[in-house]
Amino acid sequence: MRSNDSKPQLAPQESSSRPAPSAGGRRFQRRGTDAGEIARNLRGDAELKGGFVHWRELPPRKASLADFPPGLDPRLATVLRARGLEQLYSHQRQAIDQALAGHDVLVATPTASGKTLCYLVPVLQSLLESQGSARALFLFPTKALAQDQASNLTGMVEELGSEWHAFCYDGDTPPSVRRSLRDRGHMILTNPYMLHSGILPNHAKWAELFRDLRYIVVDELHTLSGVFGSSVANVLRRLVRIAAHYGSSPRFLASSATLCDAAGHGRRLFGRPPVVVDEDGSPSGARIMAVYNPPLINPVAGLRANALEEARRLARRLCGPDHQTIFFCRRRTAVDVLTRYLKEQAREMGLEPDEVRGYRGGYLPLLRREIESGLRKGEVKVVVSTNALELGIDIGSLDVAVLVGYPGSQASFWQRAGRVGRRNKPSLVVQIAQSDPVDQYLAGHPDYLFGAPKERLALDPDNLVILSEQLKCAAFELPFQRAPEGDKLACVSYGDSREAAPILDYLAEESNLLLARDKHWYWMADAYPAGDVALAGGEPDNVLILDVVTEKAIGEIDREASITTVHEGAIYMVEGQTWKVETFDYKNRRAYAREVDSDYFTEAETNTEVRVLRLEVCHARSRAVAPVANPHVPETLILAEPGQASELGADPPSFSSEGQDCAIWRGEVHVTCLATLYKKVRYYTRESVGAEDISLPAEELDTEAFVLTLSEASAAELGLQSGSRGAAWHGVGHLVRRVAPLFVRCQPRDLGISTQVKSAHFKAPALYLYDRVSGGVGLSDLLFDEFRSVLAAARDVALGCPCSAGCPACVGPPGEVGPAGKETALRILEHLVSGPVPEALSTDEGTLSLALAAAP
Amino acid sequence: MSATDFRSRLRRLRKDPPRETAPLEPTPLDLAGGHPGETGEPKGLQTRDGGRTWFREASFALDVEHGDFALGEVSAAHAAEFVLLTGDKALADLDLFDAVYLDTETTGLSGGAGTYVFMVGLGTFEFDGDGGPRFQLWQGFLRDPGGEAELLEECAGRIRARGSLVSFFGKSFDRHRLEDKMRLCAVSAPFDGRPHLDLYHPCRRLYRGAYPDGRLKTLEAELCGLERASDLPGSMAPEAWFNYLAGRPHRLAGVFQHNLLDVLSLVTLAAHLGRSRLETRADRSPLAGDPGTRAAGIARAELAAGRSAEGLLWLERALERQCADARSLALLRADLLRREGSLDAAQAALEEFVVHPEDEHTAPALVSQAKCLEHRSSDPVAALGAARRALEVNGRCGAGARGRALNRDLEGRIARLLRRVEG
Repeated sequence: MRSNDSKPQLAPQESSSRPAPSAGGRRFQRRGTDAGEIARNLRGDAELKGGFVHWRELPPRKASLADFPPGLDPRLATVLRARGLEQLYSHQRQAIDQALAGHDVLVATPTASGKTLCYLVPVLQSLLESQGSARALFLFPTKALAQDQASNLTGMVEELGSEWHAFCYDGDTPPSVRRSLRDRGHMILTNPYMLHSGILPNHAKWAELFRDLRYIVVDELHTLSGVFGSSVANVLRRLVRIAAHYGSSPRFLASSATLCDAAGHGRRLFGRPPVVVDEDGSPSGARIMAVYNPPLINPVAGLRANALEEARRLARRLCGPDHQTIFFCRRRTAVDVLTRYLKEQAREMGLEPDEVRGYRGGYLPLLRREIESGLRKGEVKVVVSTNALELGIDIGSLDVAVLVGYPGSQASFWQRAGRVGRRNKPSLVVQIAQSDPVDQYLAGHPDYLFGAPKERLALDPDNLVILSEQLKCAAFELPFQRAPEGDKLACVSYGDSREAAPILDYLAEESNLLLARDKHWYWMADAYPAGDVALAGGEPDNVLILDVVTEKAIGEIDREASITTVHEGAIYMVEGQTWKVETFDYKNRRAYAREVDSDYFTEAETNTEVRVLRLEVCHARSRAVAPVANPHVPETLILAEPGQASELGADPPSFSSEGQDCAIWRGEVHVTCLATLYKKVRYYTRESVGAEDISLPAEELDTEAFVLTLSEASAAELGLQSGSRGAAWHGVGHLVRRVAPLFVRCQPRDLGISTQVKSAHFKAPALYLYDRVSGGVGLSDLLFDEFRSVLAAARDVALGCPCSAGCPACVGPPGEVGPAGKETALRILEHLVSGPVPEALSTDEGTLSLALAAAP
Repeated sequence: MSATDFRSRLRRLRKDPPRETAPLEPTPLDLAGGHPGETGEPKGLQTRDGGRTWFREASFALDVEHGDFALGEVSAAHAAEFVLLTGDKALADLDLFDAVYLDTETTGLSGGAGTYVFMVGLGTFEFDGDGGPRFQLWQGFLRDPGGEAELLEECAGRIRARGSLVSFFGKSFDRHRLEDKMRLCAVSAPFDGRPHLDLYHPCRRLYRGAYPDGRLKTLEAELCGLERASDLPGSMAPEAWFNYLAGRPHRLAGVFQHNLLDVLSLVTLAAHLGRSRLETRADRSPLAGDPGTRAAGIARAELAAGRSAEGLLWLERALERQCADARSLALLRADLLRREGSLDAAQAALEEFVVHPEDEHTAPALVSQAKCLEHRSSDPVAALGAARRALEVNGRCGAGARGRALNRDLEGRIARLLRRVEG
């Protein structure tokens, strides 16, 4: 909201209640520095010069303003004026116009551009027009955001002189006030979890809300992706269905960080296309952005100085008594360590130790409120935080942001960067690169950060597992009615889903949860499905780790990871304490561990097998259009795995330009992951002190995959062979998986990887990247679309990496990829990203053309 | 993809076990003759002409016994007892002959839109018509989940036709299930503004702690002498209905029977509770139920209603009857005496009280003693002594939040008494 900015910004020295420091002290010497000056000093610093690999100055931008819309209720206009708003930013005007015209609207503009107003105005206007009968439901990703907005809304309603109520409904809402909140709340602010398990299953109690529900406000839309987003899309389908039952047809008003393909994401979430407003009309001060790459310590191994240490070093230049600096760390422990470092060196920075604060989830609410208010008042000069301060909490605008490590997504990067910048003062953002592939890619390609968003959000509301679980909840809420014969959807009112009807039949006939009768499906079980269906997935299957002595839980882990983490003999670590797993009751999902003093940790090895179930799409290119440059002449001509050599013989590979060069596929695969053995590894020295077998059932997963295949002929020419040289193929896979999050919003752990130098299915090298969620949530689709960008980023990382023969920051250490691994991986990547883009083939043609290339 | 392929894919992805098919039991549904006391021809499931609501009706003469009580004995109950025991003044004009006795069977206890009310038992006393005075039970039944709105409409009409409502735990459960469903089906709910006697609360008030649990089955046995011969547990009702809908109606008769017994028990339980302070039945025989706990319960209710004299009387009765929590009642009595100004009696009671081996009541008793000594006897020195002793005892016996609160209170009191003694 601009109203916050319009309040007078107290200069830090005015609001500080501390006694003025004595002139001549360190504090005095450091006075009066602003972000622009800090940046100039850093740029002139010989010692640091090499580290700052990139500087960019974004000039101040003027506001693009527009008048209030002509239809705006005069009472609302008066309230806005009283809050210091004479005009709107152009994007606010556009969004409000579209909303008032009855469209679904998605505002995708940067942090602090006044997105809130875009939905508040239409909601309040609807209340004014309907004389208080209209209702609105707001969804926020966190409780804190909902509470912030509730007080903001209450303030505006009071200024309007109305008797309407805005209530937060979350897990903390006492049962005693829930009733009045349901009957008297004009605006209900909640989160997707409460909507899913509290409101929708009990919609009759909320009839007042649904009867005239005008707007569904969805804030921070970019947080809705993957399993969670796909589940929430279904919760929204349920919401629309219930609203329709009570006779209302609400519109969506959504806000989001700047998004790649915002329209597509909105359509998938809402089941219908929203109007996208993404031209930011808000002003900003000058912004200086810098990328800092810590110095190389060991060029051969590609090892760089620790980013946290570098942050500490830079802090001496970036912190001071007359401005506010925020550090963002990726992990909670890093927050605690850096906070301690900075408190210790506070005096060198001209600060008192208690002007430096840490902030993260897990701090008590009161402490957090205190730090937030200290930041707003300017009393806290330095704060070290996790992503806890990334989303909407009001802490005012600060001056310098330091990102210790790339936060993993562009949206997060900009939200963190958006924490700094006042209208009239320059601000500075410093991104410190860590030693992993994505950070190193960004150090070399800063344009990625400053250009249009490139990462796409995966969302698949029709994932069969998620859809079927959500349909259980929906059927509980209202019976489904089968549509008349011939209707394509064959089932009414469940968004744009086409598979609802066969799933309902399945739930009726196979699961005995529904009763199908007279063209209806009725929920027919003594159960409360929303209580068992988790939005973020995975939970019911988790393994609990218990102390064998006290029988108390010490941790929890998802099922997939359990076979490598809590197998018998595993060392399980919790904040520095070590526990040894004595028994793992696989069936009942319990592992029993005893606290021990262990001088080693354990590392499990797994054997992952991927079997192709079905291939849906294939794009391929022929060797004719993409010949391998400077074909590699192999010393040995073994193409097959040992033991399979006889099948192919030792004929030299054909160097003809026949057949296929490479292909990409999308399809369904079955993944079997078997934990085979674990190694005991000594701390620090990493010396192996023994290994033992693991005997646990394999984890099985049916999911969707993106597959990359190389023909044998091209592989041979690129120098990819079995044995140690085949490990380069694994290196390619490792790196591709690590950089995929640049273009597809996910964590690397959301993707599984398997590489086969000679795949049984394709009879050629194949690389599988699969979605680690049963049935997939769309990651493989996005990878298929973006594969060239992903491979190009992988090539750039390997090319730019200073290591000599592979390191963990690129293709993996030489011990894993072999002595020629990096070189071979680079050749392959280079080949795959040059030349024409593969073209669509039918999957049969793809297989045929692959076979052709293998023919001698 | 073919339908079979789709299913096997779905099963694989969901990791569902292969389907199990329960064998169909061909037992026919026999609903005739639910209760030996029924008069007239035994009746099965019926439907109204042109309607989709299914129901079963049964009639009972007023002298039919359900446990130790005849149904007609409800005429001897006094509405004042319900006002006392619930604190609900709307029950003052409760006419138990004009009430509708309500009990429902649902597909679960969790509530929510997917929980069906598949059976609604409504009992009413009828004095007109051919059958003479009788208790008439109407059990509406959801033969098909599609008929919900119609069943609810019919129930709402039947409830609206009567002045008030009697149930067991219905204020917390049955009413809400029906109201939710009515709202969902756009049927206007009949509950607002209608006096509702929920027997659960008075039972708890009178007999808390006397029996292992507060379930209807336990209370009807202890208070009304009813032993159910072969009852289908209520928890099995949902499954019985699911089976019925799937063509296996073998358990359904049991649900009708269970619901019938529940409704009849509402009548006899009301007959019992309506005689609480009289402690006798209409024929002057003593009322069943633990007399000590009951006296204590009445005492607390009287005190809550602001009637100290009656409260004191019932407290003394409870103490005479050696009820379970005699210590706390004795303390309550001493406090009451002190507040009412019977200082000597209060002090005597407290002195007697604190001789007893120390327990969690000792410190509060000492506090009461200190108050007596300070305000009534104007003896701050003795009061200080009692307060100090209370603090000491509380350190040993007072636990939890209550103990801590008492501690704070005592520290304040001691400081104040010290100032008074010294100044």
